[in-house]
Amino acid sequence: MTIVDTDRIWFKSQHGLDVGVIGRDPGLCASAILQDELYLVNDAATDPRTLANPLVAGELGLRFYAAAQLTTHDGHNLGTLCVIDRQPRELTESELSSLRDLASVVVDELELRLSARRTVGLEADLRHLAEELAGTLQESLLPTELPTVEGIELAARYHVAHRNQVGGDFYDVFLQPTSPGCVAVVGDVSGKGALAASLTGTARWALRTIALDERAPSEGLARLNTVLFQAHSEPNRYCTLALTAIRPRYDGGADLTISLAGHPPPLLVEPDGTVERLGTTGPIAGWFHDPVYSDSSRSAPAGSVLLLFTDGLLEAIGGHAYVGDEPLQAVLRRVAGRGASEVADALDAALPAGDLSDDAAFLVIRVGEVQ
Amino acid sequence: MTEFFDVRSGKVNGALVITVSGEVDVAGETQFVRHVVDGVGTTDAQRVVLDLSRVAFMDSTGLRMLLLCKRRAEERGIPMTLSITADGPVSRLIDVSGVAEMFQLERTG
Repeated sequence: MTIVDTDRIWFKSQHGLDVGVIGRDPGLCASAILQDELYLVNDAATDPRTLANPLVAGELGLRFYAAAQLTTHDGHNLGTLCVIDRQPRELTESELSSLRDLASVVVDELELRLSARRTVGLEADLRHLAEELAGTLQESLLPTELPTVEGIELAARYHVAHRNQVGGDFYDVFLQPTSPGCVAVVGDVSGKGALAASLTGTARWALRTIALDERAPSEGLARLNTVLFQAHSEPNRYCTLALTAIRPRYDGGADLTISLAGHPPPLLVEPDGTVERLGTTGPIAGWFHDPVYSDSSRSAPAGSVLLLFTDGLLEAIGGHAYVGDEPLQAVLRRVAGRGASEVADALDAALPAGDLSDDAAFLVIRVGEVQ
Repeated sequence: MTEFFDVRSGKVNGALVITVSGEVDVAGETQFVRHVVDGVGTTDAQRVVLDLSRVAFMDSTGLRMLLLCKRRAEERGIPMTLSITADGPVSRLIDVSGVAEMFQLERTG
């Protein structure tokens, strides 16, 4: 089996002959591919097309040559499937037909491989596109940068479990028009992919709008529940949130007010290493008609760190299927009194190497001036 | 690695009892809908018991499934009870999610 290019003939597969590549000039295959019918030379020594050919007149002493073209389905002759001999030969009609059939089997094989390669390439392109879309969408669901808030230091991290899938975790920090400090939220929408992303977007922007009126976090959650309950087009989805108002005080500490909607309680780490869960559990948002949320208030001394997180962090730090927060508390205790970025780095360092089984997002809020 | 969950169901004294064991998360969503949610939605039993005491792990997808079961049972007007281990993963998920009051729970020790 040969492939003929501009200058050479490549013997890609052969039996009874040991040739790799020859120049196109002496090759019979170069002539064969210029026509579309079987190229048949019964006795090369007498055939005017070949008698002067070096392969015939020279050492090889070729006398018989029959070639079926390898014609692609779009009509290009790539090379030949040929049989040769040092004796003159006649081929029967059925032998000629076999040669043609074998040549078309070769072409099918070639095209199959080509199409398999194209498919693999296409699949890689699509995966790349999906990852890019997921990345872009994810960015649109998270703040591009955290605001600067006087008396508070912030750090946020987001770890995605699957690069080509938009996760359902989100966080946000925003200022309110007339109050000092900020409102911080971490949430988790049930499910993954486009549906989760649309609900995430709705939740995030609804909260920002709701927070323009300065209401207690519990009231914010109740209003958000109403919006999600009425608005999201895909039913049977819900989201969990920890919503917190942080109001810095003149003494360097801050007053925290927290309300939870089906979310694991945030942890407060005081400078002395005491860790405490904050907030009172309330129902998930977006599923029930009229849930009741409550506020918990706590005064945090300067140097305290409040950690808002999604349950993916508990599993990432505690181990597969572990949902308790004790391992997370242990990590936090070791970095009590440190700055926000340092705490975030310590949490990152506590994550397992390799892919996480679920997305993990967290927001570190340190009370007191930036050191 | 995620260990798949197992579902068995049968009728005991006119009640549909569905026993789920293993890990319930996003990987088993379709299976859960087919075998549990649809099971509750099509039963002719007088009441439903979901025995979740042998569930080793459940995430927010699992909670959504339980809420869907509850909705199906309500649509058919039949009571549904969840049987769970008092300090197990399902108890914890239901408590954190603030939905304990929405279910009839049987917590076992």
